[in-house]
Order: sequence, then C-alpha cells, then structure tokens
Amino acid sequence: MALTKVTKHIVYGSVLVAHYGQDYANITTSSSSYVQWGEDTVLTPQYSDSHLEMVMTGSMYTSTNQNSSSHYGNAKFVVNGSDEYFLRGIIGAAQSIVGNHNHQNQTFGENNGRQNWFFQNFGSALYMCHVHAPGSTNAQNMQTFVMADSGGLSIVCSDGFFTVSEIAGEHYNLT
Amino acid sequence: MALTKLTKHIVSGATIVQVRYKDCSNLSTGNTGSTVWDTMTITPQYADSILEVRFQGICRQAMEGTGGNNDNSNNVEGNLHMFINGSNEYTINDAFSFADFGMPYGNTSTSNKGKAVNMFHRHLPGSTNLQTISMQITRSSNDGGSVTCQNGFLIAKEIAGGVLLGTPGNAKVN
Repeated sequence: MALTKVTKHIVYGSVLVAHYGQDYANITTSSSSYVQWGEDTVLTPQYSDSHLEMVMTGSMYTSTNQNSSSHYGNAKFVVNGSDEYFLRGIIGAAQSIVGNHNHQNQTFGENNGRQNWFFQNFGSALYMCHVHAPGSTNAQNMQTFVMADSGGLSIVCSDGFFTVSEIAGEHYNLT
Repeated sequence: MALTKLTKHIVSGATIVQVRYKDCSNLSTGNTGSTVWDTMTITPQYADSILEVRFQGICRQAMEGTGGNNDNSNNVEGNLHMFINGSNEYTINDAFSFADFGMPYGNTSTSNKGKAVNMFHRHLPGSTNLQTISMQITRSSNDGGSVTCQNGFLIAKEIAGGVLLGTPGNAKVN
C-alpha cells in the first residue's frame, strides 16, 4: 500500500493552524466618524482555503452627561480596508434635560425652580465575532473601529482584546 | 525513510469537524412573547460530537417619556433564548433592558437604548440528525414600541467527541 503523506487533510475536519492575540489600548472618542481602536493585526494564512475567526472583547461606556440629541455607540471589523462586520447600537444615550418650573408664592411673589437631569454612565460589555474567508495566502490586515453616531457622545473604549484564529478549511457551511 | 508513528502529536491542533456560521437577519417586533430572531441548521457528522454555539448581536430601542410627573412607567426587560430542535437550550434573562426617565413639567425626551447581547453554549446532539438552532427573544412589555434586533452573528462548531473531556469528575462537562 502506498504511503499517504500526513497533512492537515488526512484528518477529517479542520485544525487550528494559527492563533494570535493582542491587547488594545484604551481610547476615548466623540467622533461621528469611525476611528481605529487598537493596532492592526496582520496574519498571513498558511492555506488559501482557511477561515479566519476574529473575536474581540472589551467594554464601551460613556461617563459624561449628554447635552443634546440621542446617540449610539458603534463598532466594526475591517479587513484589508473593507468593512467586514458591524455592531451598531452597542450602547445608547439620551440627552440631558433641564426643566424649568415657575410657581407663585402668594406672600413673597414668584419664585423660580429649576431641575436638571443628566444621563450618564451608560455602559456595555462588548463581544464581537466574525468569520472571514481570505481566499488566498496574502497577508490579512484586521482592524477594529468605533464611533459615536451623530457625534457629541464621548465614548470610552476599554480593555479591548483581539484574537484571530486560522482554522483550516474546507469544512465550513457544508451541512 | 523510517516510518513515524501516527499519534495526535503528528498533526498539531484540535479537530474541528465543521463550522457553520451566519449573519442573521434583522428583526423589528412589537411582540412580547417568544419571537424568532433567526435560525441556522447544522448536521453533525458524528453522534458523539460537541456543538459549541456562540451568538452575538444588538437589541436597541428608542423610548420616549410621556412627559407626565413621575413618569417612570416605561420599562422593558428582555430575555435571550437559544432553542435547539424546539427545546429551550439556554436562556439569559434580562439580557437587555430599557427604561425611560420621568420628565416632570411637561418635558419629553427620546432616549436611545442599546445593548450588546451575546451567548455561548455547548450542546451535545447525541445523534447525526439535523440540529436547528433558533435564537429568540421575549420581552416583559411593549413599552415604548418595537425593539430592533440587529447585527446578529451565529456560529456553531462541531468539535469531535472524545477529545475534550472537561474537568474529571464533573459530570456536567463530560
């Protein structure tokens, strides 16, 4: 019987080919345009039929009061400059309200009262996962971006950790 | 050339039999009862495989106070459920919640409420029959109107059985 070379294909199923992870430094943004959170992660697949499983965890919160309008915090994965996956509405925030109230004091005349409502400390844990099929053995540049939609919302992106796993194909979405 | 004994060490890595994943459809609903966000199927290749299922997405809602004094009546608690083959496999109660704030003196304000939801679970299908994974939500009320569930991503991995034995003596993970 001829010998069969032992490769990843000799075992039915897929194997974990490569794995990489890095911490993201905390950032704060109030931009209504996407800004990058953390640094680029570049992985060169060993096989063109591999899939890259990207996972990012962290938190997103706002600790400042909002002066106007309503907001959401968003995040996305970008691979090789193309949008790969969005999470829109991770946290929400409302405008703060200043309420004026007039009442008449019969003895001493009119007095004005005023109350403020400040909405703050909206926060949420963040877990984001997606699978990317590079289709080649070219280097894949993976990035995470965040934004405050409609602007003005100051968002703290904290404790980010990103991992990518190269999982050998071709056993994806077959059944 | 000398033959090399074939052991698990000759091929590095754990055996993942197959992976199936899906970008889920968005859902907007005013229902409070069990409502399907999206479904996905996977057919195990081996009866003793382990299914590792992960899900994430966003539930969001814009709530507006009615402006009355002591208006704090709008509250929504939402639960996230993972059904497999019609059985409730896993539930996270209060996975998301929304509320408005009282606005005395006639002031009203629309406030956006968004929550990232995610779930991880391990399922033992025990057969090679088709497994249908259904992500569902329930809500305590429809205060403030419909909820929007978006950006869902569902991934299921079939991991070969006999590889991961879990913690010895712990029947829950063996």
